[in-house]
Amino acid sequence: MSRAIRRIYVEDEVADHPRTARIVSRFPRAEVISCGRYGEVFNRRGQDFRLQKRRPALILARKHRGRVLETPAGYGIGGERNYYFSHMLNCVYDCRYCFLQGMFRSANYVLFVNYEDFLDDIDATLARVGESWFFSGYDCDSLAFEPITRFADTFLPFFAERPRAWLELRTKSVQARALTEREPIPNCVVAFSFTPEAVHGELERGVPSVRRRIEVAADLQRRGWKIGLRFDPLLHTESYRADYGELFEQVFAAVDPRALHSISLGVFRLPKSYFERAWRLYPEEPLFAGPQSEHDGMISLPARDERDLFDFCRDQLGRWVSSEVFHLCSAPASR
Amino acid sequence: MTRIVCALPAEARPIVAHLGLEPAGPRLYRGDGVELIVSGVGPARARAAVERAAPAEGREPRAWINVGIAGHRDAEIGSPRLAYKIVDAASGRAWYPPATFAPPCPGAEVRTVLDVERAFAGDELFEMEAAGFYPAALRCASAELVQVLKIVSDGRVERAERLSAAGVSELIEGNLPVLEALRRELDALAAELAARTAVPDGFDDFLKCWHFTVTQSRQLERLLRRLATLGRPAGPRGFDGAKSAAAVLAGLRGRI
Repeated sequence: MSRAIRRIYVEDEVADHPRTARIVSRFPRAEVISCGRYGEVFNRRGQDFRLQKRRPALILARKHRGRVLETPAGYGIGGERNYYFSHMLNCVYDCRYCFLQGMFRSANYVLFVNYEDFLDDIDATLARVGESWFFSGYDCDSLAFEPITRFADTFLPFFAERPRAWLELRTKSVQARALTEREPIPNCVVAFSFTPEAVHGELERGVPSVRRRIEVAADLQRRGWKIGLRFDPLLHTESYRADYGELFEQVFAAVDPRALHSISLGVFRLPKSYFERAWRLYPEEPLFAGPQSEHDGMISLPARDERDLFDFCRDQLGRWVSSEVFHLCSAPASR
Repeated sequence: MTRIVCALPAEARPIVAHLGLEPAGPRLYRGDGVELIVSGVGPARARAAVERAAPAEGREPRAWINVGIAGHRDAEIGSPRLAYKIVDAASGRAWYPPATFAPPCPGAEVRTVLDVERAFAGDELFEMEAAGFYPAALRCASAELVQVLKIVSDGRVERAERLSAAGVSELIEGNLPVLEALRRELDALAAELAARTAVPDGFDDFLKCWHFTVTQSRQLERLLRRLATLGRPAGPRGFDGAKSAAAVLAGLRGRI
């Protein structure tokens, strides 16, 4: 993945940041370009996400405000107080159902290198409201870029010392070294997202195979890490029963269902404006062309298909796990 | 279609000859898939040239390239640079042309100035059009399709005053392969964009048979595109009994 970075934009404000120097040194062949604020490069009007996805640039920036935010309603895995934070915008993978392609005009990766400010804000949130969940991996994959970002490497020791702060790392990657090289942290859940092989092959470009991700999840579980499974979005296909049935068999052949922390299920849904933009980017994509329903500004599958798919998956998963670990995700996002 | 903007006739001449362009108006040349405009010197003229051409933009996405000479303190004369940052020296505003392809030559920061640069303090290229051309072209095309290609023509040793028209043409001519490579990349991007927005098959046939309002014609286009994606292309034949465009649209919706 790192081989693809040929341009790095560096905000003047973080030009002297040690993390900037380390990351830039990883890409000796990249053009390094100074910029005032990342907004001068990222997400300007008249940019094309799909074209930029061919060759994304990396933007190193400082996140000034809004570092820790309340999650949208319906986003959570049982905790009372839920927050998310994004050290990075955009994902190294290219999943056709992902809301990021509808949310951003630019496919460049923005990495906020001022991790310490995020950590301060998490501490401030803890002091203000008490025990809370902090979700990473909302606007990016938590671990996919780890060799470059060393995000987990920095954040895990911090959470290890704060048992009232629960961390979810959400990922489709197999970059687990930051986890395997340390003792498990009881207040951290490593949540792996899955779709069936058939969907993976069609809609998830650049994502490691289902088999490999299952292996990594199982390995982490054996090492004592809390593992979550995220079947979100559930995607309706003609063969969804066979596809999801096979996926669940695959997963639970390796992952111990009794030791699972949580499972969340969420059907495919996008805010209408995101859906429209994604459809304009990928008009040849059947996912955006088929039957849809619109409700409260969200586009999703027709209600009956949605219900059938969801009920089937919930019932199937019930063969392995009890309902206490289930969480329905109805937040306006799909990653 | 690519639109090339040059400031000087001497910059344009080798490109016109190489691409076999024909005169198509004052300071305008046209050929197979290419149009070249000679803007005159300075950002205001470059901007005006783009704005004059812009109304002729149709639905088809086009690439825009500003080609010209520039000064650099010590870069090799005749070496090409693709702008990755453009700074308007007068206002301080900056733009960052994205490169979603393998650039055919090294990149550089390009600083647009109003007078010939003599000091060459930094590592930038100095020239006189990019900051006028670029924001104007951005109003016509997606940022990925707008690029600025500069050829180093002078510096601290080789002074700009000693440049002749023939010398300028020679510098551009020596970099025609770079320009061609850039054009190919941008044409491929434009083609991808064009494929996304192409009028779906059957669209015009429907318009001939029923009266669609502007909104309805947009809905028609969307529905036909979706049906084509689903492998169910539609034509007016299946709607012989439909009394109105609204009835046709309802019928098409029912097929999804």
